[in-house]
Amino acid sequence: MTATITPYRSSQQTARDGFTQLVRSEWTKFRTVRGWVIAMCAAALLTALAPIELSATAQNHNSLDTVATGPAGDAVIDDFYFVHQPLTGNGSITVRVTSLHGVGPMPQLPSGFTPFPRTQPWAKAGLIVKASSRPGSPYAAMMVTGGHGVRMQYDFTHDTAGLAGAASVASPRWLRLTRSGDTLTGYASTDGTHWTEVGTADLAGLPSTVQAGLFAASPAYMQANQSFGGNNNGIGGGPSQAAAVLDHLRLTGSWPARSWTGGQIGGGEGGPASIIQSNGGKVTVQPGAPGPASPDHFRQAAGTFTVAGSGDIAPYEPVTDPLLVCFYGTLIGLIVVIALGAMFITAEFRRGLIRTTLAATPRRARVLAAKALVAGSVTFAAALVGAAVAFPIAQHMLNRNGWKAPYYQVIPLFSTTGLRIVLGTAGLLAVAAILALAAGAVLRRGAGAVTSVVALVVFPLILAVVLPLSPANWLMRLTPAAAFSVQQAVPQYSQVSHSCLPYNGCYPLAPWAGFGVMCLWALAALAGAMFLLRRRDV
Amino acid sequence: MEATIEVAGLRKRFGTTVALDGMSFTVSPGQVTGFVGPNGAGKSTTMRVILALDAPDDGRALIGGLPYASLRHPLNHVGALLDAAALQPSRSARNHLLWLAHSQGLGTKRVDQVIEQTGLRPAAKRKAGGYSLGMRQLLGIAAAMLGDPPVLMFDEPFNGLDPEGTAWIRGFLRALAAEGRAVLVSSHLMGELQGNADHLVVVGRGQVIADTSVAELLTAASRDRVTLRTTARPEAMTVLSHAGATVAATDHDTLTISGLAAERIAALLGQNSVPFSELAAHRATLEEAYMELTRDATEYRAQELSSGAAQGAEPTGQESR
Repeated sequence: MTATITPYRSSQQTARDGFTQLVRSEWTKFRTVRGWVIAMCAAALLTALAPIELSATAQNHNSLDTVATGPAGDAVIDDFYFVHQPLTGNGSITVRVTSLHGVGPMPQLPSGFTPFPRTQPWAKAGLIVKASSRPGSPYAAMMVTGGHGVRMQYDFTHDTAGLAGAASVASPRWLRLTRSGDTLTGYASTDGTHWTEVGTADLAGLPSTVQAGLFAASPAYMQANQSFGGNNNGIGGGPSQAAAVLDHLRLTGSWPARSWTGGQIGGGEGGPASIIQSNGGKVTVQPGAPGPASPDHFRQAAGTFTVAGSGDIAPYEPVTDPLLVCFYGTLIGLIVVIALGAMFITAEFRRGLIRTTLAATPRRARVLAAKALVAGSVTFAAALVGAAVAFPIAQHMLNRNGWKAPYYQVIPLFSTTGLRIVLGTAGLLAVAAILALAAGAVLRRGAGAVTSVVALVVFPLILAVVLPLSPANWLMRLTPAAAFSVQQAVPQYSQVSHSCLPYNGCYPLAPWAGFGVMCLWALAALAGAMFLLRRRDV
Repeated sequence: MEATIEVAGLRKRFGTTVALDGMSFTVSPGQVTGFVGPNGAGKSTTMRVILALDAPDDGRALIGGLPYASLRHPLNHVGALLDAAALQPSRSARNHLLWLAHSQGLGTKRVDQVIEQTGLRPAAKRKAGGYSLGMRQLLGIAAAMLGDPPVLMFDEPFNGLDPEGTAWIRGFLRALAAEGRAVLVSSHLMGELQGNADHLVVVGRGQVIADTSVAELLTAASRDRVTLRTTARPEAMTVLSHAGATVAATDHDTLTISGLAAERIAALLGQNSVPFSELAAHRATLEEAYMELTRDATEYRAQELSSGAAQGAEPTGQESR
C-alpha cells in the first residue's frame, strides 16, 4: 500500500533559520496583544510623570553650606587658612612638612554614631598658588593629607596622588610647586634632594601676580548614621581643625622672600575670619580674632611654621541629590515593566502556548534570548522616551523650588551626566524587564515572578532606609537595586569624604558599576532560565 | 526526507505514574493512522515526546529519520495540533498564525492561505478568546498547516465539534493522506475513526496493544462468528452446541455462534429441520474490536497481551525487560 504513495514534500521552503526570524516572531507576539502595548505606553507615561510630580513637590533647598563659585561655575568649598604673599612672574616654592594632625575640640556625637578619628583623612596642608584670595578663584596645591598621602590638587575637581603615607619628623614630606606661565608643576620628595613630579596644572588665564604660600584645612567631621527603625538616622558632626608643622620654606626664581600674611579664606567652619599678621617671626593677633573654640592660627618661629586651619578646598557636594530623589518616581514605571516582562512568558505557560512556541523552535535557549531582546528593547524605547521627557522638566521644577546655582547646576540632557541618567534609567527598566522574564521562565507563574523581582529590585531601596548604614550599603552594592546609582545627578568626587545616606541618593557604587551589578543579576537569571527551560518538560 | 514518524521503545514516568511503557510504532505516509486508546493511555505524552516537548526516559522518536529537535524549521516537516485551547485570548487568530509563521521565516501570504484553507477568513481578525471550541480546532489545524508539512499530528481533533465540523475534518484528513502525507490522529473514541483511518495504533497503559490495518482488525475481531436469526432459538442452540459450537443468545431471535463455519451451520440446521430466516458472517464494528482490545488492556498485564493478542505489536528490546 505505501509503495504506491509518493511522499509529500512541503511547498514552504524557507531559506535559513535566523535568530532574526525568532526576534521578529516574538515582536509580533508582543505587539499583537493590545493590553501589553497599552501597559508599555502607560509605563513610559509613568516614567515621565512620577519624577515630574516629585520635583514639583520637592522641598525648598535651604543650604547652610557656604559655597563659592569655582572656575567652572560650579559650587565649591573654598575655606582654609592661608599664609600668603603676592608673587609675580615665574618661580618656585618649596617646603618640608613634618606633621599634620587634628587639633581642637571634637564634636559631641549623639548615641549610635561611631567616634571620629582625631585627624580627618582629607585634612590637608602644604603649598598653594592661587589666582587671588577670593574664594573660588583658580589654584594649584601640593599637600600632605591626613589619610591619603601626598596629593596634587587644582581647581577643586582635580586630584592626583603622590607619595603615600603620612608626614612625620622621621619621615617628612618635601613639596614643591613651580610656576611657568600658566602651568604649575607639583613635585614631592622624601629628602629634599630626589624629586618626583606628581602632576601639572594648566590654569589658563592665571594673573601674573598670584597669592602663594602655605595653607591648612580640615573638612568638617561628618558621619551619616542609620539604625533599625530609623531612630538615629541623620548626619552628625561638627567643625574640625588640623595643624601642620612646616619648615625649610624656600622661594626661588623671580620670587623674593618677603613677609607672610596669614588669613582665613572663605567663611569656614572655624568661626569668623581672623587676620593674623606675621612679620619677621613676630606674630600679632589682631582684633576680631576667632572664638576660643577653634582658633585658626599661624605661628612662625626659627624658620618653623605652624599653620592650623579648618574647612576644605574641594568641590561642593550637596547632602541630597535632588534629581535622583525625583527619579525615584521611575519605580512606578519599573513595577509595570516587571509585570510585563514576567507576563511575556508566564502568559504562555498559563495557556499552554509555550508548547506551540517550543514546538516551532525546539532550540529553547534561543527562544528565551529572542524574548529577552524584544522585552528589553521595547522597554528601553518606552522608558527612554519617558525619562528624556522627565529630565528637563524635573530640573525646571527643582529650579523653581530653590535648587539653583551654585548649589545645584542644571544638567543639560545632552551631557555626559544627562545622557547617563536618561539612558541609564531606560537601561534600568529594560534590564528589570529581562530579569522578570527570566524569573517568569524559571517560576512559570506570573504572580511569583513579579513578587520575586519586585522584592529583588525595589525592596532593597526600602530596606536601605530602615537598616543600619553598613548593611544598607551592602544591599545597595549586591542587589539589583544597585542600578539606581545610574540616576545620580550630583557628581561624587573621591577627594571628598561622603557622609550621606542611600535615601538621599548616596550609593556606595559608581553609576555604571551599580548598573553592571543589575546586568549581572539579569545574565545569571537568564542563564538559569535557559538551563531549566532546556531541561524541563513543558 | 521521508514523511514518517518512528517511535521506538519510549518510556516515560511522571513520578510514580508510568505514562509510556515501551511505546513503539511507525506512521507511514499516504494514510490516516488512528492513534486510539482510553484516556491516560499515553497518546498525548507520545505526541509531546515526538515534538521534543517532553524528554523520554528511554527510547526515541524520529521524524523522517531525524530527531525533532534537530529540525531547523520544524513546522515545514511536522504540523501538530496538541491543544486547541492554547491561545492568547486577546490576540486575533490571524496574528496568532502570524507570529508562528514569522518563527519559521514564513510571511503573511502563507498565513492568509491557511486561513482560506480552513475557512476561518470571516473570523480571522477576531480575538481568539471569543472562539468556540470548534473554531479553535480549525485555528489549530490552520497552524499545523502553516509549513505545509508532510507529517501531521492531531490530538483529539474531533473534540467539541458538531457533526458538520466532524465531517469536514474527516474529509480534510483523507485529503491530506491522499496527497501522500503521513497523518496521525488520536482519539479516545474509536467511533470517530471509523471509516476514516486506514491504519490503527491501539494503545493502553503506555504500550501498543495493536498496530494493524483497520480491515485486519475487524476480521480479527469478527473471528469466525456467525449471526443466526431464528424463531426456534432453543432448538437451534441444542443442535449447534452438540456439534461443538459456542452459542450465545444476543437477542430474542438472534444467536451468535462461534466455532462452526456458516456452511456447516446451515447444513446442521437443515438436517434437524430447525427453521431460520437469516444466516450471516458476523461483522464486528470498530468500536467492538476496540472495546475488546482495551478491555483486555485493563484486565491483563500488558506483556502477556503483546505476545498473545496483538497482530503486529512490534516486539522491542525494552519489552522483554
